[in-house]
Amino acid sequence: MDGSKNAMYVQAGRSMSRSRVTERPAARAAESKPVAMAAPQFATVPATNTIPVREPVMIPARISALEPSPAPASVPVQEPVSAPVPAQGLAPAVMPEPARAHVPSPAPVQEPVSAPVPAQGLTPAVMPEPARAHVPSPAPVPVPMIEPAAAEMEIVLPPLPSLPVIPPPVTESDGCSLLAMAFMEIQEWQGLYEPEHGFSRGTIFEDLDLPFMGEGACRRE
Amino acid sequence: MNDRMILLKRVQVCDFALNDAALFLDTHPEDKDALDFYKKHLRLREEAAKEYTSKYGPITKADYDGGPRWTWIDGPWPWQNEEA
Repeated sequence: MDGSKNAMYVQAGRSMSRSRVTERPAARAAESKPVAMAAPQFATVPATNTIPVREPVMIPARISALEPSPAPASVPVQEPVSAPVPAQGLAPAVMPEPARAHVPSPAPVQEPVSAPVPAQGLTPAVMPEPARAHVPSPAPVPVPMIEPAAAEMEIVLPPLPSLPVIPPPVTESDGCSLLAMAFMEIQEWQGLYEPEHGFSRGTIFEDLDLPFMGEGACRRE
Repeated sequence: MNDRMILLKRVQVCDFALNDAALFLDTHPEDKDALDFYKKHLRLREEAAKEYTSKYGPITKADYDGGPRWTWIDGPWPWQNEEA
């Protein structure tokens, strides 16, 4: 989901680096360009219509008109998707203007199930006229620096320091590099301690009862 | 060392021997002597554990006896050495 969201944002020309879906709508609202989406419808439409939800977020500018409510409000348009809309009788006519305002559906924020932004036009025809009228809301969107910066912002990582290349040792025979070779005898089932003695020595095998050497080693009887 | 510690030590010794024998069997899976040793000490370990748990409660939570009480919380726990 995140990836798709990011992609969508990119499409919108905004960096996703520190944007949140919830934040974006506000920012975008500032852009303005109310969409013909029927805000009210969206309100009526339950958040279940994930598809539309995403749209609003994506298009901050368009949603801006809807400022009062999070961009999603504008997006709610999702008309095409929402079969339920009709169920609700959402018909724009049903939705009162104020209701739309209330829309600020956090739901819209929902994962943009479908990027079908193009659907934005979610049937513009479906969009109720009133919605559009409502759209133009100057909402003082504190357009975050995000907009401009986001567009151009790109994460540039400093180049990693180059590490010195140390060629592996090469043997004389066939040119293959060898680090080490170990040879050991196969252990035999022999020289077993009594369990109690082996418990104190750290092994039940006399052949493996070897002293530890080196710094910090201590003798233990 | 009281009786509880003695019984517990017996379980520990058997467990240690089993672990060491298992390491040998990992590289010698068909060594008959090693397999016999393992079977023998597995039995000894079960006997020692049974004797301990019957007197002093479970050694691990898996030793729950199915009774009406969760005896695991009845102290002391196996790792609590009451005597210094």
